[in-house]
Amino acid sequence: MKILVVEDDMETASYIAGGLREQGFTVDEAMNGREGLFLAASEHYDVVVLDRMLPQIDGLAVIKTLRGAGVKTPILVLTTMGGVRDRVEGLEAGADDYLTKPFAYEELLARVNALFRRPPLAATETVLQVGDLRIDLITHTVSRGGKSIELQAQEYKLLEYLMRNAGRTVTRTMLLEKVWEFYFDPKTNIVETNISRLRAKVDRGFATQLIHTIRGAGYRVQAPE
Amino acid sequence: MSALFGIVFLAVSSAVEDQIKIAIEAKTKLMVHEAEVDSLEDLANMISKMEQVARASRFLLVDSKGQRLAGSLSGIENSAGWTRIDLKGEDSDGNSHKKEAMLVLGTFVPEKQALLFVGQSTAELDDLKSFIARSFIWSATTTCGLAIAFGLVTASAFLRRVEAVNTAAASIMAGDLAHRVPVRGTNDEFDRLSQNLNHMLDRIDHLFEQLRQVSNDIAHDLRTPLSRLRQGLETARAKAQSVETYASAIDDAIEQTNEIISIFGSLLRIAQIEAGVNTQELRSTDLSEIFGRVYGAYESVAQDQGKYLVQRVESGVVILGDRHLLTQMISNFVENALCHTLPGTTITVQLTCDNRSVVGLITDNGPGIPEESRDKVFQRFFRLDRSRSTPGSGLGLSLVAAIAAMHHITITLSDNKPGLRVVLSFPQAQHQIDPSIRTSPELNAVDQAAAPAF
Repeated sequence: MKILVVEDDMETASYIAGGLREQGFTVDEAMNGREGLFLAASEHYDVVVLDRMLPQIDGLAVIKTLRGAGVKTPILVLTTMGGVRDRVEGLEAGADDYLTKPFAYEELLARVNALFRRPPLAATETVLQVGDLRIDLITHTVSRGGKSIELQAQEYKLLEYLMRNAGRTVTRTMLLEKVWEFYFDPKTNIVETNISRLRAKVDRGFATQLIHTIRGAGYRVQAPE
Repeated sequence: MSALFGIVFLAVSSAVEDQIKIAIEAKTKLMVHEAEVDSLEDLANMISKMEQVARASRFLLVDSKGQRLAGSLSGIENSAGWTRIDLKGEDSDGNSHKKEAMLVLGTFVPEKQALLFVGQSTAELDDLKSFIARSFIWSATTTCGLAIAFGLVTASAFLRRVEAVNTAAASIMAGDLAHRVPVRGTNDEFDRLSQNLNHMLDRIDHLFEQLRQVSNDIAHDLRTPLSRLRQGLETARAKAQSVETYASAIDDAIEQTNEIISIFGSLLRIAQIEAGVNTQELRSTDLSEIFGRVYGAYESVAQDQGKYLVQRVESGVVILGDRHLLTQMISNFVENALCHTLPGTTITVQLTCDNRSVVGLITDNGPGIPEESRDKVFQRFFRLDRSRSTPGSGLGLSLVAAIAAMHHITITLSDNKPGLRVVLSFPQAQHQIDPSIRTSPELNAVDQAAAPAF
């Protein structure tokens, strides 16, 4: 698992790279856009973590150049807060995900993990299964142990996202963004409320829990070992 | 001008000269005819008489031997054809005065073997020429003089106005940001330039004011959480005894840092939206989908709080906007309704599109906002007294106000009797999708009520 971190601030770079190494990743570091572009284009990486503001070649230009050259490595863009158009610009340039600085480490880790081994864009799977929980992506039906489960639209979307990332932790922010398209921090506990409702339908009355809370990080759908 | 003068001069003088020549030719013809019938002496007598009568004409009759027979013309060669001579005229006292130019036609009279010269003064022609020339010089001088005078006046007026702009610019540079370029109200190019400069200055002034506001806000609202963070860390350092107490102090510190980051982020976001009110790129956005999505997000939250969330959303309403910011705006109103009301409250989210006029409504039957505070809630960090204990930075509605300004949305807060009624008047709908085409179950779910889970 190889990750390239392109970040000009030394302290931030070592914070990101050090944490990723602790997680068992092989990490290369680049201090500027030119170096980052060179490494990303010539080496094979599983994920690139790229700061948007870089000396020499700007982060957006790096993404555009890489995509233009046919490099499909998933890219996570780091940007400073406040940017209203930043996210759209980053994603339009070809980035895969976007994280605002300053961020909690768990958030970065969850997003990097979510970018790994992404299924090809046109996912051929029509059924997702974790343990005895199955969801049919075409008919939008959910069943566990052969027993059908009725879910509301929001609950279905939430479960689908968790199942697509089965085995990985997804954060509250990721859920807000992917399920409700909320790119801000709501005051009310939307995520917690919907997770507990989903749990009540998916886990209640079953011997094993499939939806796990990862303290200080988020949630994870996982079948018991 | 001088070309015109040249043309007039040449045309007039050649016409007058032609007239003189015709007159000379006529006299010559008459006298030659006379000579044919009478003797040379009779012709000489006639010349003498004519010279006395016609002062402008002079004659000369010369015989074949070159003998002058009559006439006062002198200084001409004895040959036929046109010549031009200068005569010294003599007045009655015999004093010579100015030279007189003459046009002379010499004609050979074959019967009498003599040469007849008829001359006529071109004084009139010369007078005319000099008159035209004088007129030209006079009019040219006058015109040039006027042009220069007018030019000087105009230029100095323009320079004065440029100077006024310069003075204004200088005093603005010196720090008087309220100074403006004077406008005369004549609506000419200069006035429009001044007006545009003033508009530009207004805009700069506004941005500057916002910048100052943001710095004030940051200083004001970050001070409290920052000092709380510092106090917490100092207390932990002085008093913490176990790993657990350190850990909990660190957790608190992280929590407070998150709060600071969130306030900072909100302020930056507001500033950025406000600064780019006219430059943000707006795209076709399905407003119905946003209302539906926001309803969906808070449906269960409302139920858990024992409140009723109701949606009446007309489908397929499309406006120009920023999808994420509009989502944040609608969510903010719904969250405010949820946070500031008691269980049992009904909150209604509505979207109607009538003849392209789009209206969003978020109403509740909770405690409402007192009339005198309704304008203030959009100010940064303003919080109603009764809300100070609930979480929140007081920035939510400022952000909403900025988003509304960016989208040209008018927000009206009024009494829902009881409760708060928020009316969002959107600019005209871009278009409305035929509801029958849409199949999404969420959006067609009109009048759905989320029953509270008691």
